Amino acid sequence: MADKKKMSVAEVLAAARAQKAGSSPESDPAATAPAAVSEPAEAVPTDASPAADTPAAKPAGKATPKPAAKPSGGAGGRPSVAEIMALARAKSAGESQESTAKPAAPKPVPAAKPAAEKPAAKQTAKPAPKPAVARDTASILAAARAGAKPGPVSKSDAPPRPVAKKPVIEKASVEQAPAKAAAAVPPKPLKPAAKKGAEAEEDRRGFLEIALGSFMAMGFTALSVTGGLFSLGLARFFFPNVLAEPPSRFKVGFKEGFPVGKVETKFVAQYGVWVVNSDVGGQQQIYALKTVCTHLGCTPNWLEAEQKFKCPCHGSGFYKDGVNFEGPAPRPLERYAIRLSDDGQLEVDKSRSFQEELGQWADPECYITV
Amino acid sequence: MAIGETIRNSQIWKSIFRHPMPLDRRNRIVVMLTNFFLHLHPVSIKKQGIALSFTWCMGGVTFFLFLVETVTGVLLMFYYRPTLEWAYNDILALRDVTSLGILRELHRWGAHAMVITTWLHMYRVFLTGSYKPPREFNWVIGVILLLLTLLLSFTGYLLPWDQLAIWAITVGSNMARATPILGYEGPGQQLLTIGGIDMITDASDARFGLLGARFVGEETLNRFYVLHCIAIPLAVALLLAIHFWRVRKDGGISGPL
Repeated sequence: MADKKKMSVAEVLAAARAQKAGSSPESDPAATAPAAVSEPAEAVPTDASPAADTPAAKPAGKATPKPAAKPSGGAGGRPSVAEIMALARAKSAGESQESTAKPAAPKPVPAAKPAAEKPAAKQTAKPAPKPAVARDTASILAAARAGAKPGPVSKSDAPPRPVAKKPVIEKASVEQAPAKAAAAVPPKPLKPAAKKGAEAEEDRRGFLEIALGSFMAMGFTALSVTGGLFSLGLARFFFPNVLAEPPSRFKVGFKEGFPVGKVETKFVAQYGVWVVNSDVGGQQQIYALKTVCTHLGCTPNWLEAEQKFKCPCHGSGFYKDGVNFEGPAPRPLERYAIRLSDDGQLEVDKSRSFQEELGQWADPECYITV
Repeated sequence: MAIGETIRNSQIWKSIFRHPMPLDRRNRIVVMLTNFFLHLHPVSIKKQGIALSFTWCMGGVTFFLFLVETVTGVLLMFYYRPTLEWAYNDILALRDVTSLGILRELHRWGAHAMVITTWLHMYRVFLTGSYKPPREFNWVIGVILLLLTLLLSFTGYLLPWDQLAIWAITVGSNMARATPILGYEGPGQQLLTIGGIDMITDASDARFGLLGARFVGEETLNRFYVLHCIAIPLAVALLLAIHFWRVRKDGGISGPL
């Protein structure tokens, strides 16, 4: 018989969609009783008379999965796609027989059309719990498995709860649709609408729900907080709290040790200071100059013969009072605080600097009048 | 040879070398796939990958020099102590009295060469347009590697603790005190004053964090030693791995776009 020809998956599914449009009202009982035995249609694919009888026993146009064809569905397992297809083909074979026997049978219209016999008759026995809106392959197959025990599904992947649609509407549309439904492309499902409906039902997760919603989330939250705190601590780690430096205050001897015009260089290596006795702006002063060139930080040399400080790095030159006059140095040498200590010695304090260009050399703390 | 056969069939040998000698094509492939060192290479590469006039092989040479530096560096660590008391003298000892003390010079020449080959490699990549999409980020990684190479040179320069070293690092690190906001002599330094207390002073700015003190001294020597021998090489190794991985994934060296 012609109906022996195997239908392609596309045809099968197309027929299923059309079938579902016309059979969703009756789908519920079938959905809840997938294991119900209707007829072993596949057992008599080519026999017209038995097929003619069996359809009558079936619910109108409803394909119920045969236990033999779909044991898993009824037994609580998930029917494979192959089983679904086989079931559908058997169904269509049975229905095609019936349609020839009862042309006026109140069958789903697809079955009535000879041209569309095979694809039309087929149905995947998926009374979809979902509204007829969704007619794509995935939902059809999902509906087939709906009655069966569902496999493991994570919460995030679980399909949204289906919204029940009134069957009445379906019936009305079915009358017109089936005319060309079998061969026609089923109307595109309104996916966004369905989705929006589904989303509106769930509440959006707040930040704390995400961060503390499960043990895993709490663990990762704790890890990131710890990591952040550790990074901050690490940044602080690189700045030492204790420094081993020579004392910033030190005595350099008595005033008498510094005759007029002298530039004392014996403290340069250890303390980085020149102690100078010179005339500054009409006043005879003893002051301490910092041995750091104001260009890039090298240590200038005191050239006694030329009476100037000369930096070996880039040639900056400074007068005896520390004022820059040649080379790349942008400003005069800096002074340290100097005072007369209790025992009469001069005491230099490196923790305080005085810059001439800021007018700080007028401060009496940076020189001793002689 | 009977003795060879005996050895190759022994349990010791087989536990080390699991597969037959790579004398035929199949075994060569097997070895490439199962050997720890060789599996980092692709089993086969396109012929264009070894076109020297195109690739110059400067990336490979730079990596080779990095390995040379690592090996010579580790060996030098056996005879160098990063303290004020010993640093300078240990370098002199390496030069004058240590056997194969030429390692110190190899390390130094290798450093110079590595900077040069890095530059040549970047130049070649630029000339061949090998930085264009989808390879842009690999170029970025390469620039970071360049900066790390220069930092390796900078930190290593201090370790002999001679006049050249001290002043070079003093002058170089003095630039850090002019950093905007984070340097105590830079613009915006007072922006981080909280409650009247300066957060950025000469004892708490970027330069201080780099030197570990207010001037280049023993703390700086130790800090640069750790940076030079451990911290920066680890960062370089990590970025190198990503750098090579990206080259492989983008179709091998000098693959067409």
